[in-house]
Amino acid sequence: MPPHLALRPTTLETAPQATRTRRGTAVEEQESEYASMYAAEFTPVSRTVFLILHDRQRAEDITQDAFIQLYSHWGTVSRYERPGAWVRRVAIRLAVRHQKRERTRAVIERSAEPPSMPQPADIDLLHSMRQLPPAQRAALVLFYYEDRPVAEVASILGWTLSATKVNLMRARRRLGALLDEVTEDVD
Amino acid sequence: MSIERRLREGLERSASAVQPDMGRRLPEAIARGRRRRRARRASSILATVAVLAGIGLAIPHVTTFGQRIPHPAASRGPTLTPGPDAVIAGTYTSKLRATSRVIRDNGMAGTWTLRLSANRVITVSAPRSFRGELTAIAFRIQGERFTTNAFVDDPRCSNDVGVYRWQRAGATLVFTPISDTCALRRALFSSQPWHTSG
Repeated sequence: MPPHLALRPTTLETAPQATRTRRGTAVEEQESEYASMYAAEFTPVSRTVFLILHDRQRAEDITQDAFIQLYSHWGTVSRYERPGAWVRRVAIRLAVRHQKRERTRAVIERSAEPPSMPQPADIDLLHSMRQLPPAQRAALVLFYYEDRPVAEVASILGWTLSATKVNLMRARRRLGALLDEVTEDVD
Repeated sequence: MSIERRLREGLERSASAVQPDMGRRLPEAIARGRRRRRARRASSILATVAVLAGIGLAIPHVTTFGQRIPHPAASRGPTLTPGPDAVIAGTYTSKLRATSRVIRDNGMAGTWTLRLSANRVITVSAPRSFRGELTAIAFRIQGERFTTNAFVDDPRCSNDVGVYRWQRAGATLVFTPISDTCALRRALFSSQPWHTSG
């Protein structure tokens, strides 16, 4: 008899009430930790995702999907040094993947619309950023908005250090040209 | 203004427009996360059962292959003895009537089919109206005791197992509860007798 098909020995008898209560308390504790993480990280992550997608509703939905993944892996991820980094990475990758799909669908009319947001957003900047590939957009957001070092940007996007530097430089140059601004190449 | 400065200031201003409704989003994330976790658990159980069922199917073939090779020392091949669980193996149906609240509230009324296999796996076909979770199910026979973890993933059954006395008379199989705290399982197994089919 293979062990997986056997009923688990611990469940062969009716579980004592105390065991059930302990299990319930442990789940409550985990959910409470998760809720704290959610409260602290959801807004910043959804803002980062928004800067990549330029669609507020979609940004919140994708961030929500990333946090749902976080919930189902919470037992493992909560033991990481920085669980917030895990969910941020998932959300950014989902956003980049989503944006690539959108580009292939060529939703030009939709992308050409100015983003719906209250002023004072830098509409020209966001409009120019839309012309960059999604991954370059994500790199700019992580480097300039989240103020992350190049090595961390590389780690989040799954790039090498040199590829990250090259992509940041290209993105800056392209934006500089589109916005008629001065660029200074920074490492 | 340099492009770097414009990026820093422009992105900061644009991002501040995002103000998620946390009161709505958090409960939704927890509810969907729970469902996703249950689904992951169920699919891993099903995958394990499928692999083990595959192994179970492969073993008789290996035995048959071995038996085809003439063996000078043995005049007959080995005899396979069925395990104790094989005595109940078969397909059974039962028609549940909406006679109790648990049956009515969970849409359990209708025809149910149980396929009890000799490798201790139960496959259940439920009526379409049933609102509950049925994933991979196992059973075990010890004498007249039948133990099963049906509905193990349903939150109302708290990971417990149910123990029943089983009796078969001809084509009829009857389960009588010995200990089971799960009302869904009690309703399914012991509300009505089961009849062999197929």
